[in-house]
Amino acid sequence: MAATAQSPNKMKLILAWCLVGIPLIWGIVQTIKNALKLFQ
Amino acid sequence: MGEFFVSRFSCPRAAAENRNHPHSNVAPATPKELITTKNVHVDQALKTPQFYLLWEILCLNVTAGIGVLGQASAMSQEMFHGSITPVAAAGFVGLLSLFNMAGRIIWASTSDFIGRRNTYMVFFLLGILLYAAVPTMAEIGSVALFVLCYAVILSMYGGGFATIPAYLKDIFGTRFVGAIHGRLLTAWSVAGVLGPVLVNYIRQYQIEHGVSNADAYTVTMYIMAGLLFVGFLCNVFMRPVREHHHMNAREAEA
Repeated sequence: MAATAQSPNKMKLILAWCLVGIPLIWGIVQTIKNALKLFQ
Repeated sequence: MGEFFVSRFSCPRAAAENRNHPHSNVAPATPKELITTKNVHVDQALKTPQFYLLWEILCLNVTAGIGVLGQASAMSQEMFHGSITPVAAAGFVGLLSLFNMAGRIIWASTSDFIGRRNTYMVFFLLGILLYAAVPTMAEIGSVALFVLCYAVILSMYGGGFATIPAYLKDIFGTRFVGAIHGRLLTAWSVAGVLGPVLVNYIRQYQIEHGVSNADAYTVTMYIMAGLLFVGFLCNVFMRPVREHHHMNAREAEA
């Protein structure tokens, strides 16, 4: 019972982290790529 | 003198003891210096020297950081004329923002282990060294060390901003920490004006008096180091709030 109740919450949690995490990681990668031009 | 050092070293222990109850409101069995178990009313907090010391601490820490962040692109291009392009300078600003973000998480978490005052001691002392070192890094032409100095400085700018609510809670208790924090943020507003204005005006003044663009930031960096020293002194003078400022049991229940 508890496991079925937790499952949708876990999915929502993963989805929420993806919504935040993917743009964040993309932004960090782009920033680091730009910053590397400092050392070229 | 001995008492000074004993009291300094008691802070990390106090923070560590609080850490033993991370998910509860249980106060540590023996309350330590600078971590109160009492509450101070927001109106009363404004009558304590601690509020104004924290105001100065936040203002000076932010002034130094935001002044640099606002001018980072122009400053890097002028200090490394020809070797840092506008595109690379934009990358530099982005990198500083990343360190600003990371500093908020890392330094605020570190303060749970070493204590709030000790964290600010690190901000101010390390900040003074790094600001004073920046002109030298530019002089020897080391882009990597220049970037490293500013990256750490900006991490401490973010860290200072992230740690102040916990410092407020330690000094004034939890009851009115939101309202007290709101009033303390006026320090950030002042710093938001003061930092960029200081950097711009001092640079302009230097250039008008014949200093080259590349060297125009040297004095600014030393002034920033001086501001951080004042912040360091404010942090040294921080003491627990006197008992007569605390809410009594009747007020606390109301």
